[in-house]
Amino acid sequence: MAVLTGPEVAALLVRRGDMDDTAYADFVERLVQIGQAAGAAVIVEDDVALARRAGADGVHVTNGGAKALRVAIEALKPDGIVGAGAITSRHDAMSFGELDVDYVMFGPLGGKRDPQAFELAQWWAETFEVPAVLSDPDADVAETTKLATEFLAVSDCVWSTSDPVSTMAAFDRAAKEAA
Amino acid sequence: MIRPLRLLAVLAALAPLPTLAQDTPAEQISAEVLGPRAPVDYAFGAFQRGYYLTAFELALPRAEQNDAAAQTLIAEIYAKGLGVPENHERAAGWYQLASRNGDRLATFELGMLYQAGLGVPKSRERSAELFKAASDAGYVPAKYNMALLHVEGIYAEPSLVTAATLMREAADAELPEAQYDYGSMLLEGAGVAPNNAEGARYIELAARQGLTDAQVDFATLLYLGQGVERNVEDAALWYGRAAESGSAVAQNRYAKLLAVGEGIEANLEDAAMWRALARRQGLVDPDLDRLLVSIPRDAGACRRACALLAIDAPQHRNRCHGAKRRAGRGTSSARPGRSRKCAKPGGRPRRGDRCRNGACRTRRASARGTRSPRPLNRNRIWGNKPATHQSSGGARLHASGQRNTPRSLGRMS
Repeated sequence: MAVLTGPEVAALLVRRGDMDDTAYADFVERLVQIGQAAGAAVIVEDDVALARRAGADGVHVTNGGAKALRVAIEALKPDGIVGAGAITSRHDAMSFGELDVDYVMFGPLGGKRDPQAFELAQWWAETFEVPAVLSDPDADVAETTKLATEFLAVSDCVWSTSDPVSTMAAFDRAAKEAA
Repeated sequence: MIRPLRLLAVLAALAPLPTLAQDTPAEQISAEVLGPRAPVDYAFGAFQRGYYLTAFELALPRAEQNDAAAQTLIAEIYAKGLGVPENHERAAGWYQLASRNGDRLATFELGMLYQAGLGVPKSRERSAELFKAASDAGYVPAKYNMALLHVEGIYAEPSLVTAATLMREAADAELPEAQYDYGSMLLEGAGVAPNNAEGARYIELAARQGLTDAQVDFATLLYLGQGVERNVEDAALWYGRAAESGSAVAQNRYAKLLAVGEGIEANLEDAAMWRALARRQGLVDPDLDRLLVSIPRDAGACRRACALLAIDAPQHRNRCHGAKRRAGRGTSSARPGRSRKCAKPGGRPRRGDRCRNGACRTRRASARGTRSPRPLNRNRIWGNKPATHQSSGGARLHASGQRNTPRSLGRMS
C-alpha cells in the first residue's frame, strides 16, 4: 500500500506465478482492495471470470493468443481493460495490436530481462498508436528517461529491494522527468 | 485456396537442391567467370510470380530475424493488400523496421505513408526527414521528392539551385517526372541557367517514356520551334498521343490542328470528337468553337461524331456546362502569335499552360508546392521492388492512370 500511494501508478498487475486457482483468487481479491484504494487499476492475469468476480479493472492476456484476446475483449470492453502480453514476434504484436486492446506489453513479467523487448517496445511506440508497455524486471531508474514507450512496468526491481517505497518514488520522478 | 499455396511453398523450398550440388562443369565455369552466385531470394521470387501468400510465408521468419529486404517485402504486401487485406498500420510497422535496418526503399515508402497519413499520423515534417534520408542514400524517387520539397521550401530549405541539382540527378537516372520537371526548369531558368535546347531534350525524354504532360509540352515546343527545330507534323503527332492519354489541353489543341488541317490532314469529324472530349473535362475554348461553328448542324460528319458521343451539336453548347473551368480557356491556343499573353521581359515564346499574368517563373514553383495531391509521386514503378530488383511493367499503368487526370487539370488552372 505504501509503495502505491504517492507515486503515480497507473495499474497494478497481479502476477499468478505458480499459485493455484484458489490461492490466486484470494490474492487478487486482497490486492483489488489495496490497489484500487491507492488509485491504481488492478489487472488480473488471463482469468476473465475472476476479474469480474473480484471487481478488478481488467485482464492481461498472456495465454491463448488472439482467440483469448477476442474473448476477453468481448467480455470486458468497454468498461474493463484488456491488454496483450507474451509477445514473441513483431507479427504477433501487430496482430494483437489490431484487436482493440488497451495496451501491448513487451517483455517478461518477472525473472530475467529480455534484451529484445526493449527494441520491440521502442519500435512499437514509434510507429503505432496503441500504447506500449515495456515490462523490465531489471529496470534501471537512470534508463527510464530514455524510453519511448508510454508505460514502464516494474516488478522485481522494486519488490526485491530493501526499500520498495523509495525505489518506486525514484522511478516516478524519472518517469515525470522524461515526460 | 490455402492448400495449393502451401504446396508451392514446399516446392520452392526443394528448388535450391540442384544448385547446391555445384559440380557440373557448366556450374564451375559459370562460377569462375561470374564469381560466386548471389543467394536466391525465394520470397521475392514468389512475390514476382504473384504468389503473394507464399512470399509472405517465406519472408516472415526472415523478417522476424531483422532481414531488411524481407521486412520491406512484407510491408509492400500489406501496403498494397496483395493476397491479404490492405493494412497501412502493419505496412508502416514493417517499413519502419526495414528502414532502421538500412533499406532505402522502405525509408521512402514510410515517408509516403507519413505524407499521406496512412497507417501513421500525418506528418509532413517526418516525411521530409525520411525522404531526405532516402535521397541521401541515393534512392532516385526520393531525390525527386526532395527536389519538390526544396521548391516548396517549407519542409526543406527553400532553394531552387538545390532543387535543380537533385532534379537533374533524378532526371539523369531516367525518372520521367524528373526529366519533365528538370526540362521545365531549364526552359524557365529556375535554379539553373536557362537552356532551351537542353530543356526541350529532357522534356522529349520524358515524353518518350509516356508521361502525358511532357508529351503536351513537347508538342508545344515543336510547334513553337522552341529549343527544337519547328516541326508541326511532329507536334500534331505528340498532341495526338497526349490526347489519347486523356489530357484535356492536348485534346483541345489536337482538335484545332485537325480543324484547320495543320500538320495533319483536316478532319472535322475527329476535331469535333476531341473538342467534345476536352469539354467533358471542363476545358471550354471559344476559339475552337468558332473554328467548328461553321459546320452545318446537320452535316453528316459532325452529326455522326456528336451522336457517337451523345452530345448536341457544338454550336449550341457554347454556353453550356463547363463554364466553371473558365481558367482552361487561356490554356488552349496552340497557334503561335495568338493569345500568348506572357508579359515576361524578353518575351520568350511561352507555353501557354503556365503563362499567365507574367508570373510564369514563380507561378510554377508556388503552384507546385502548394498543391498537395500532385507533388510526391506515388509511382509504383519504383515502389514495388522490395530489394534491388526490377519489377514488371504492370504497375506502370496503375501509376499513370492515377496521375493523368489530376495532373493535367491541375496544370491548367
